[in-house]
Amino acid sequence: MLNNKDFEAIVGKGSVTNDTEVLGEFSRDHSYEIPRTPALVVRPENTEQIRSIVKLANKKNYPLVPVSSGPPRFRGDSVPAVDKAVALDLSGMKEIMWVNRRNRVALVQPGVTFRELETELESQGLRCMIPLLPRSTKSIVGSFMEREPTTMPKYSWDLGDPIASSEMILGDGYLTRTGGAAGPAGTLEAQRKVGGAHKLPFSPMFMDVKRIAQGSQGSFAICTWMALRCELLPEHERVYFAGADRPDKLIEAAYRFIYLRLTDEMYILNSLNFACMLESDPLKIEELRRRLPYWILVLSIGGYGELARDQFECKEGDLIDEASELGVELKEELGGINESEYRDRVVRKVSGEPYWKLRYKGDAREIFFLTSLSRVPEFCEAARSTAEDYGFDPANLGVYVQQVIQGTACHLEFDLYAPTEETAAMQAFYTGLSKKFFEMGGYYSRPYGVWADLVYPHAETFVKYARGLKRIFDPNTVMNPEKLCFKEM
Amino acid sequence: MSRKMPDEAYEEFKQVAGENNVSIEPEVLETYTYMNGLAQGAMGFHWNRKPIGVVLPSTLEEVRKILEICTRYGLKFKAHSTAWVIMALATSGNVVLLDMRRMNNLEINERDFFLITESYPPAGVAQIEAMKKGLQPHLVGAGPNASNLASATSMQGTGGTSVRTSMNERNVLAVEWVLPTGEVLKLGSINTPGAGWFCGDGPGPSLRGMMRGAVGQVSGNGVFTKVALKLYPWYGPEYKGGGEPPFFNSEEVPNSYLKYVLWDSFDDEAEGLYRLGEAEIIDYNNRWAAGAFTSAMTTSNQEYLDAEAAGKYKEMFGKGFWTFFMHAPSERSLKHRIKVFEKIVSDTGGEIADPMIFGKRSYEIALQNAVRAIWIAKAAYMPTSANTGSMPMTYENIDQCFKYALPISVNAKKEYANQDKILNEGADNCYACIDEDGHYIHIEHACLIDTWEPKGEPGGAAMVGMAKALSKGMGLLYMSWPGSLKDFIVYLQYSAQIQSMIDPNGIADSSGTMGASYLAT
Ligand SMILES: Cc1cc2nc3c(=O)[nH]c(=O)nc-3n(C[C@H](O)[C@H](O)[C@H](O)COP(=O)(O)OP(=O)(O)OC[C@H]3O[C@@H](n4cnc5c(N)ncnc54)[C@H](O)[C@@H]3O)c2cc1C
Repeated sequence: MLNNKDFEAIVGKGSVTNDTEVLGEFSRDHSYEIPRTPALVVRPENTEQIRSIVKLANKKNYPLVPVSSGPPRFRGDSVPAVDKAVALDLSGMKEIMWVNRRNRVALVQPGVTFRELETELESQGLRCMIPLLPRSTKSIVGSFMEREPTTMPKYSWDLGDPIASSEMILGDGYLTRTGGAAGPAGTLEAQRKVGGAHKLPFSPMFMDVKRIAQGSQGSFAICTWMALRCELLPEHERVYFAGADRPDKLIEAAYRFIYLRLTDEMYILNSLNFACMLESDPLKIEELRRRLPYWILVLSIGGYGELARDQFECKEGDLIDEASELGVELKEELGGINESEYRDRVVRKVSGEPYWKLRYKGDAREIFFLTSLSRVPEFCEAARSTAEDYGFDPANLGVYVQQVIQGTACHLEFDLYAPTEETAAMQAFYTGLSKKFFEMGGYYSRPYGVWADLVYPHAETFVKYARGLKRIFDPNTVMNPEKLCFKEM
Repeated sequence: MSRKMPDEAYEEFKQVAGENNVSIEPEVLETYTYMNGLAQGAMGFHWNRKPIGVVLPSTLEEVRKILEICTRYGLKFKAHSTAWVIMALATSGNVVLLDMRRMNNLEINERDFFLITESYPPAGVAQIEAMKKGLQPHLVGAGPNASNLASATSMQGTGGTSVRTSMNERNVLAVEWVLPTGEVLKLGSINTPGAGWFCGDGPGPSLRGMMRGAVGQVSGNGVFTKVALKLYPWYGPEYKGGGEPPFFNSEEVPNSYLKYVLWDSFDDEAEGLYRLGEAEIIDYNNRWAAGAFTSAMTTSNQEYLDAEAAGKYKEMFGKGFWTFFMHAPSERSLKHRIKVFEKIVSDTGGEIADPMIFGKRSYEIALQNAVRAIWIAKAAYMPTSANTGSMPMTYENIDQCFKYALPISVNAKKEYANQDKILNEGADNCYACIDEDGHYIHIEHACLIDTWEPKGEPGGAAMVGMAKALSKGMGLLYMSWPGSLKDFIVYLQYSAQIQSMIDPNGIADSSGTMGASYLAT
């Protein structure tokens, strides 16, 4: 039986609640996960408290659901899959623990959001990798624990990026560190005293808990801070747009530009997603999208660091030459949105309210997976025809294409815009389209909700050993039980 | 414990791999018993574990069956690809070596910038194929001769191009892995039919985290049959060389720039490296000192000693020097890079030297290191097995290496050089390279040992001495081991649990992995 007092003894009375309204917030999200109300919401303030909670959970078999971001949430991963769960709300842990310009690194606690960090970084001439216009409440730690793609593919060396080091409390309560911070000298302070900056991205010896915990929806460990690699803030920056009715040429251009490591920001959107990001009113979104070509390649070049102006001009020259060779017209204005306005509102920015995916119809569902950039047209065609089969208007499909791992793969995302009332029909379409993509070879590398049921039956040995690892690191299955392939363990 | 292959097992291996692909002949096994390999000089012994047999599989299915036979007869196994490290030999008794040379396929996915390699293709072969398509794989310091799969799945993975081509722990995409149980574990996107090999993480958690950390398990966790690895841009034409080994002639790489750089102090050196890294202009970087350079320049031990006595390399490079190489997609871009490069070096008090400074040989060494990673291996072996090899390594950020680690190890080294226990080839023989535009740095505190010098200490005393000094000064250990003894033990306990899970019958010859398997058994 769950006992509030156990938790109050650790975090204090004010940080434990079973208020129905608060519990309600943690019971559902904008996904098809079956709503389930947690028994308690607990708000720890520091690592020690989290560790004590995990130890308590092991002793008393309390299921813990770590949550770092504020609402609106979308993927069902923080909706408890079991009864009597305790939502560990880490969004109050907001310390930016360290920013170091020389080593291009920042340490953040789980509650720090992108806006908070960007503001701090900019004052020191740095920038961090950031997902496309995240919601204002999105936690950095939450994003990168889930391998969220970011908008500068040239800095995406590995899907583990931009995490350099991290601190994790494993399911069994053991506190460990990954990356450089796992290494010598003990405490962070002691490491810094001998020059360290927690920058090494891989972990000692033969295993890496960071990799195991990433993408696991909190099934293995709770991250209590993360050291992020940062990059230099451009002194000179310009965004370009290239529009087209068909994606092929833009895809060619994206392949070429990433090959040349020429661009900073780079992704492809369809007109609906572009409009949703820039306008907040459905009518204005409609108006803007009508002024836009269907496909838009957004890219930026930057001059930073040494001889920044010279660097910028050099990149600009190369970009213009390359674009003309590819037959792609680069514009500084599109549909009345000019590049500086776009930079002000989108580049390294978080979404205004309401969150951009909720602006057009009040609600949205996401389907995303990894594939080869060259296969984007096939998947788009499948989305269109499947939408028609299900009576969903393809005009309400938003598309976002993001190269990851320096162009080796791409995150392909379809945003299905529909009002909340249309749930039943939408759910059928959502499930049907998810299945279609899977059958075509779309790789759900982060298999939320129904995607897990598609992916794991084909990955029997993987599941066996993922479960084995779960038994090692979370022997009492207290960490977000029953997610992914960890059902009925 | 049996030291001989059971007859029935021998027959079964022949059925699986074919008669000509199994050997228990003593003279053949002898060739799989000794190696003038990395770490040997340092540790001062020749490897002397003889395998009980060698099998050459050609397919995933054959590998699976071989491991099943090993399980049935209580034999151990060890995979062996290009074998540049002694851990590719048996490290315990009763071991069947899987010589992977028949698993030699290589496929290049030009479009999505990756290759799929089986176990044997050496990195240099992959490089030549990739260059035809304007791409290049990462090459580790060991050179073009080493298997990229072995490096990425089971060893380490740094090299001078790491500044642009990352480190092999991070280059891994999808993986096909035969566990000691004979099960085939797939990592990443190949778990979904028709998806492709572009990703090694997931679905959900990334089991790359149990494949390796900073280092791999040197076959202690199974046999990797295929891995996809990232490819990086190569803006030049295919590399062309000619002439006789070891001093090949190379054709110049268009739109490229190659220089040696010397800094006077570690502080200036660190400053220069931070700025060069951030500028994102460098494509190859390598720090060496006089000893390694002299090794590369000479062809015999006598030549080495003569050159050393003449002193000119030591005079020039005694405090360490850098080789930098840039190659750019356009003339405009190269011009910009050179401008930035020269400004940074000059601002930080560095001196730029022409690689022709000691004639064509020194130019070829610089270029072939930059493009083919050729010379590090040679330097490590000249004079014969003189380099300490597995020296202490520190692996973090630039300041830590130059302001803390190097001063400590250089100081510790002096003592040994003064007593002739190691060769005195100048202040330090640190091998280093910055990785990923300077986000981190790899550094090896090496020294050279003359194995014929009566006072010389091939037993690795200097290495241990430096490691101890580093450990005392900054709590550092080899390859950033966990920070405290307690963490170290817990770490090994988790590793041991993983090992027990994937190798319940204990058939992996994994004593080379220093712990996990020992604890597991
Ligand atoms: C002079 C010298 C310099 C070096 N410099 C560097 C350097 O700068 N950076 C660096 O990263 N490394 C370096 N190394 C180490 C070397 O790079 C690695 O050993 C190499 O990358 C792997 O190639 P290999 O020929 O050693 O392979 P192998 O010896 O065949 O394999 C290496 C290890 O992996 C295991 N293995 C091989 N194939 C498989 C398989 N299919 N499945 C499972 N396990 C397998 C073997 O048992 C062995 O333990 C150096 C080595 C030498 C000799």
